[in-house]
Amino acid sequence: MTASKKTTISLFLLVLVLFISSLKYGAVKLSLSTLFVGEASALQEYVFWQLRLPRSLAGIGVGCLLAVCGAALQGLFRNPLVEPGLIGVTTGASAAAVLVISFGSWLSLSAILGGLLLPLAAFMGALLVSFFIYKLSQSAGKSQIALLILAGVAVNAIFGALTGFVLNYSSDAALRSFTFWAMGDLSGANWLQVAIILPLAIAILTYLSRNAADLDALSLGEQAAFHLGVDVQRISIHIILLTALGIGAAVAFFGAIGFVGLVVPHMVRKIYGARNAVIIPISALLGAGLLMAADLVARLIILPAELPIGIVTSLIGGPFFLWLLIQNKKKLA
Amino acid sequence: MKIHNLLSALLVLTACSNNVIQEETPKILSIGGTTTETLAALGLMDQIVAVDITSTYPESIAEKQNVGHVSQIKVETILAIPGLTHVVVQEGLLPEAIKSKLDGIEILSVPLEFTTQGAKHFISQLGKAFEKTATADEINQKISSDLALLPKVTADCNLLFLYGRGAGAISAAGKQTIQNAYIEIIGATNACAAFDGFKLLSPEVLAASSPSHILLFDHTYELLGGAEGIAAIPGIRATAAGINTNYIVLESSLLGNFGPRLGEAALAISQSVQESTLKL
Repeated sequence: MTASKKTTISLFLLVLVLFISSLKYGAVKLSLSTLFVGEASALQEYVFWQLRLPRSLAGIGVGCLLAVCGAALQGLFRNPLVEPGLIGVTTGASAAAVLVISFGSWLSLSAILGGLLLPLAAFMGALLVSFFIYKLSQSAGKSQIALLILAGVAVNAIFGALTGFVLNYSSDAALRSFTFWAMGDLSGANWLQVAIILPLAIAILTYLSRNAADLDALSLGEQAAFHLGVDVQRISIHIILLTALGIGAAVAFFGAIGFVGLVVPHMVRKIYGARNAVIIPISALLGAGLLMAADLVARLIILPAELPIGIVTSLIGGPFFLWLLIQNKKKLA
Repeated sequence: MKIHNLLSALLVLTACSNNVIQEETPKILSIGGTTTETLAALGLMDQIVAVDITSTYPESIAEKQNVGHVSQIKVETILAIPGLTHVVVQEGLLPEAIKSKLDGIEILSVPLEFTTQGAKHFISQLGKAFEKTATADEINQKISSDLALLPKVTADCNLLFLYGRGAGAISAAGKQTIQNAYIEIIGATNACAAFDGFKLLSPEVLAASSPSHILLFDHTYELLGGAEGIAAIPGIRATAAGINTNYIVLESSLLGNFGPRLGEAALAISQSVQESTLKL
């Protein structure tokens, strides 16, 4: 058995352990054996079926989506520092979601689209930012990371301010708090959200895994990819659409959870090398694991209250990002 | 700076212990819902010229100048109130940094402990400061006579006070809160006694606190979308309160203040609890 196969198996086991732990641990004491063979109280049944299970499944879906979308965007922009949160895609999605909650009823959109309204709006917001940022980075001929990150700072500032403004001037109860939109929260996950997020994660994962070779070719530059027979235009548009959809849905339901899309593909690349056919599925696995682990910390560390999950992921991701920057600096020097 | 602080501390002390303030008609900035309600009950409504945003009772107070939320109050806003002579505030609400800069304005900072005795003491202190001792005594007697009518509520009534601005941001009242004090006064149990102050509740903790009744401000109830909206809060449907829709909704100044209408508020909560128990 090769070393990477062993790593994959242990990773898989780790995710399984995390999934079981995330079902078992929380504010309410649960014993999984009494739930399935013994007699559990009504409270325990409720907590397991209506709170824990959807929450854990949402964690898997969101972790997988964020990591895979991060990997795909890094491939598309040909730069390892691209992350949906850093280039403003996440904030774009938040702002669109907040706007739609405030004005959606006024436009009677919610009556037509129902539960799909919010993810669709967030998708539009994410899409808008993705296209803008992509066009901006293209116009320079080659990918310019400084431009990209600075544009991300500006986009984040604009949409962050917009979100804050709407939150201050709207009294709509569905709006939730600014912390939710900035830091994320899995605690309210329900089955409807799981039913949307999980299939979406699987669909995006499947598409990107199948087209991993094109992403590899893209990393050589658009010209080279074109000569290798890749339809660059088509794959670029697909990646932008899919990542916007994935990030949009994740943000609409669970807020902006930062740095997962950055940290996970990097770790995977360190261990498995640069082939996207490996990076993408393994990122999905590691992303799911990381998010469930972060969610466990968030829900257990300050009982009876909970930390927003984004605080945990940012505490892991922020230093990691700095480390990456330092590494890059050394390379350039 | 230090001398300044000392001086203002002295001012506060003298203001609390002396019962002579009124040389001329005072012009008062009243901070805190309970403070304003108490001053109004003492008959000082005309002397109040400005209030903070939590002062919503009596309703006619809306005509006075409003200086906004106490945490965002600026020294200049206070100094700009024409002819202001007094700032009356519940102790702990106004930061020392602001108090120390209010030259020439008398600051009356009175502690309010969240017990019946504490509330009565608060009312007496304010009465003494503005020579309304007799009125203060009458108010305190009314509180006592109201509380004497209080029906016995059993301790296995588990009340949870929820406060929030949306489905994702629901806080509960722990110990050291006015709502906890009301729950204790009527003889029930606070479902969230594990912490102090207000804390955001996770759905699991909410479910596990298993309240028999949920206590809310009227504006929270409307904000959340009534009984339907409350049922949609994750975790609520696992509780007896959620299953039986035992929601006790009271006007926010009644349930949020802890002053002259203390007895009235306690009676209202306790009656609602009993009615909902009969309903079962």
